[in-house]
This record gives sequence, C-alpha cells and structure tokens, in this order.
Amino acid sequence: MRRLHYILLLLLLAVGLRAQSAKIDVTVDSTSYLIGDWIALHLSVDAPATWVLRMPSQDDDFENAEFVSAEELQRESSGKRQQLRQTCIVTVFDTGRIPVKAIVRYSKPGDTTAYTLTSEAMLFDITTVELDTTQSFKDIRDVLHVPLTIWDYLLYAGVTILIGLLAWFGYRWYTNRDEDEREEEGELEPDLPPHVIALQALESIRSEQLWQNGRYKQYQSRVTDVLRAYIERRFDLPALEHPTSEIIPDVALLGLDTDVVGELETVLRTADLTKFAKYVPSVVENEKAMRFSVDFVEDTKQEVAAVLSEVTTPTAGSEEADDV
Amino acid sequence: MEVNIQEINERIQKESAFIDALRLEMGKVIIGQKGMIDRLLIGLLGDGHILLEGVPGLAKTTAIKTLAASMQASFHRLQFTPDLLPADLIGTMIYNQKTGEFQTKHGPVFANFILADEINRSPAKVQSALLEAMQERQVTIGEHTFALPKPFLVMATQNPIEQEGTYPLPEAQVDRFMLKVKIDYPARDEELLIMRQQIASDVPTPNQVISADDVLKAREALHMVYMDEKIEQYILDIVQATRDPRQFKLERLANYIAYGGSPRASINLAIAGKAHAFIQRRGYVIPEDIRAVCFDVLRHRVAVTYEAEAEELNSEMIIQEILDSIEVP
Repeated sequence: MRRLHYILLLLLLAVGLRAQSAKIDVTVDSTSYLIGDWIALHLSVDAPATWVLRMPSQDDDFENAEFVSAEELQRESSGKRQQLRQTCIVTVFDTGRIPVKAIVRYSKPGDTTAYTLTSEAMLFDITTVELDTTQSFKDIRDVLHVPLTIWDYLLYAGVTILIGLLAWFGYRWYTNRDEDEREEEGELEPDLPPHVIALQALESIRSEQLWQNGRYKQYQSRVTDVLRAYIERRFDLPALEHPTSEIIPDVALLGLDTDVVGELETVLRTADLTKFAKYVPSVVENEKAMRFSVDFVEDTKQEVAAVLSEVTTPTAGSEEADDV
Repeated sequence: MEVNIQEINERIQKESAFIDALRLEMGKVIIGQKGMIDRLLIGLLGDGHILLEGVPGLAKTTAIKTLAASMQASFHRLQFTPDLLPADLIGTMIYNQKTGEFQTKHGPVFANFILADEINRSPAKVQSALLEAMQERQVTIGEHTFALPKPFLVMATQNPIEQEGTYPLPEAQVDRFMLKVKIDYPARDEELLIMRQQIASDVPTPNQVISADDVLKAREALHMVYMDEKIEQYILDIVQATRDPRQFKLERLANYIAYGGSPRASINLAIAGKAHAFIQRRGYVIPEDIRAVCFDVLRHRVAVTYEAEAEELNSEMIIQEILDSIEVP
C-alpha cells in the first residue's frame, strides 16, 4: 500500500513538472546546402500558456547562422499549454559541418528574468561551389539586353513629339516678337548695308518736313543721329556714344578730305547748338544738314561688291580709303 | 518758362570774365596742373568740396593757397594727425579768468579755404566734425552756432601710398565731396619750368584779381546756365548705369559694382557740368561738359566688388565702360 502511494506521488510530480516545462523542436528539409543558400528551419515550441515567448527574429537568435526572414507565426492553445510554429529562413557562410541552433526567448508571469530555450543542434553540411580549373577564364558577362516593347516605342515617340512641339513653339515665339524690340536689339538692320539704312532714314526725315513746321530740334537731332549711326556702322567708330569733340578727331584719322571733316564738324556743332542751346538754325543750315548728310553717305558708302570682296579676301582690299 | 539763351550767354560771358584773369594769375605760381586748377574752380563755383588724391609734392597746398591769395580770402592748412581732436578743428569754449566767463575760441575751420591735409590720418570723430562743417556750413560750439565764411571750400587730401595707421573715409562721408580729383606728376617740360621757378631769386606771388563777392555773384550766375532735358537724361543714364548696368545692356559690369552713385551723384554731376560750361564761358551745357567731370564726380561714388578687384578693375575703368556704352544725346 505504501508502495502504491509512492508511485502515485511520483506520477503527480511528473505531471506537475511537465506543466511548468517547455520544449523546442526543429525540423529541416535537407542537411546539405551550398554556401549562402537559404535554409528553412521549421520551429515548433510547446510551452505553458502563461509564458510570453519571442520566436527567433535576428542574427543573435541563431548560433552559426544568419537570420534572413521568417514566415507567419502560427499559435495554438490547448488548456494550460500553447504551441507556436514558425518557419525561419537562415543562411550560413562557412563551409563544412556546421551545427545550427535556434534560440527562443521567454519570460514568466511575475518574474523579470529573461529565459532562453535553445534547440538541439542541427548539423548541416555546407559546401562551396566547385571550380573547374581545367577550363580557361571567361570574360565578364555583357549587360543583359531586354527587348523593347510597344510601350517603350510609344514612350520614345511621345517624348520626341513633345520636344518637337516645344522647339516649334519656341521658334514661333522668337519670330513673332515685336519688330521694334528686334530693331532695338539690332537684329534687323544689319541685314542692310549702312548707307542704305542711312539714306532711307534721311529720306524719311525729309518727307516729314520737320524744320519747315518749326520742329528744328527734332530735325537736327534725327539727321545727326542718322549720320552718327552711319559713321558707327560704316567705319566702326563709337560715334553714337561719343560727343562731337571726340567724333571729329576719330573721323579725321580715316583719311577723308579735310573739307569734308570740317563740314561734318559744322553740321554736328550746329545740331549741338540746336539740341542743347535752343539755337534756331537758319533755312540754309537746315538744308545744309540734309544735303551734307546725303552727300557724306553717298561719297563714303561701301559698295556691296567691295563688301563681298572684303568678306571673301579679308587680307586684301580692306583699306577704308579705297572706298572713300 | 521761355529761356533766352542769348541773354544767358551774355550774362555768363560777363560773369565769367574773371576766370581768364584768375587762371593767368594762378598760372604765374603753378606750372601745369591745369586739370587741378579747373577742378578747384568747379568746386568753388559749384559750392562743393574736393577730395584730392596724389603723392606729396604736386602743388596741392600751393594751388589752394594761390587761389586764396588771388581772391584775398582767408586760408588755413590743417595737418590731420591721429591725436587731433574735433575741438582743435572747430574751436572750443575757453574760461576767461578776468571776466569770469567762457569765451568762444574759433578753430581753424573758420576760413574761406581749408586744406585738410591727409584727412585719413585722423580718427572718425575728427573727420566727422569736418564733414559736418562742410555739409552744414556752420559750426556749433557750446550753445552757439556760427556760420562759416562764404565762400567756403575744403580741399582734403589723401595720400594713396601709405595705408598703415590711417582711417579711410567711410563711403557715406566720401559722398559729401563733390569731386574726387586724382593728380599725377607733371610732364617733363613742366617739371623743368617748376625747377627753374623754385630756384630763382624771386618766386612769383599772385595778385588779387577777384573778390569773394565776385565768386558769390558767379555762383548765382551758374544757376542760369542752361541745361537741356537731353543732358539731364544723359546724366541720369550714366548714374543709373552705375546702379543697374543690366538696364543698359552692361551685364558684364553687374558683378563688378558693389553699389553705384547716389542721387547726390546726379546732383553733383549736373552742378559740376554747369560749372565746367561756366569756366568754358558758355551759357549752356553740352555732353562734353558732363563727360569732362564725370570721372571726378563718380570715381568715389562707385564701389567695386572683390570680383572686380580680382580682375584688376577699378571704378574708373567701370565709368569708362559706361561712358563708352551709353549713347550721347
């Protein structure tokens, strides 16, 4: 009878101990892998329902292996026990027979200690890629060429059309700009020879009958402006940016007749007086300004043929005096 | 208002008659330096002041002294030193033991012509005292304000060689000078005449040819000198180009100009242009007058950037480029 009591006591003790223990099982698909291959570890943990378990989820949770990823955790409870199942993917970068262990961390209610549950070591045979040293070295592979699809062609066509449209709109904007603005920027006038521009402008001033209507200042200003612009373009002198006293010495150096230079000075000085000193020029002076300006342009104009020869043979025939 | 140019010309011819006599008298003592003498006259007529830059020995003192003597006006020379005090310049209150009262002792600034020699040798407080007197044309000592004599012209000099131990004038102060004139060595033949003149037994002395009243009347006449609107626009174009060169298609200069001329630059360019026309005995201003004084009026009012200094560009080169790019009316 006493012996029966003893057996019953042992059985109760064994049941009580099982209720407070945990077990981790690991199964694998294979035990032979190439170095760096992904190895699936199927973990199964049986533990009391009150324990808080953390399944392996980082490198430190595996011995001799590196954690790659984990599949979804499956949890089941039966009475006072819980069962957790999860597949973890690990990899190994050493060769040979490598023992891999998984570590599950857990805590108990009312206890701040962190416990670990380590699995049995799983032995894996990790091999490396065998090189065939009998064969010659091979070059690095070319970039892989992916064949173009219809969508690629459509995209390229769309971008090309867009660029074309932008260029066309840009050209239209450029050509449709305000003509005055372009004139101001000096883009239109250089197409014509300086003497043609000057003679046209002088003719326009003449037709406006400015001095005949008492607009002496405007008349003298415009005539001398045309003359100065002509000198600037024809002789490449900064006549528009210089006053009379600086224009005359520059023009004198061109080798023009001294009488012409003297008359030019008289015309410019008369205009200066009209512009800055409220001088009222006489009829003779007004007519002289126009006549002299036209004569000056006609006498000093550079013929188109001369211009062309100058352009084609820049070293010959470029003397200003030849055309004067 | 209708402007009668003929009348103005006649008046200017009459009022400027002393110019030739004054030039002749000054020419007795000063050989060459025509530009400096003309600028002195422009400053005198335009009621402005002149900042002179040049190495020592170029007759700066002689020029202003001769001008004063030709007018029989008072002249004081002030040597600016680091220990100079504002009271040394404008005067102070002195206690008279006999009367038991404070008496005002006027400083050397009370003169028609002042030569402020090496103005950058004194600290800012002394420079400010002089510049205030220049601007206000009056000085306050204690509780009393005293007007400075008329005409009042300050010619300040800066030595461009030595920079150590100097206090360069701040830009705002420099702007108060109507002109900044740079003078250079005389030509060889001029220097020969100077040498002969100075070693001769009798050094020429100038005679009085005009009075202070003549100068004041000439100043009044100066306002009559006609300036056409085209010239006014030309002045504004030049000054605006120093501020915003892009507006005048001078993009290249935009990075080289730290700041351009102030409205005072436009005003002084107009006055100096009129004064230049006056000393040419003309009753109207032409573009040549503006261009003649442009460098003197603007060189100290256009500040260049570090980029410009790195490119070895100075304000004069920038002004020249502006003048070469802006159309003359």
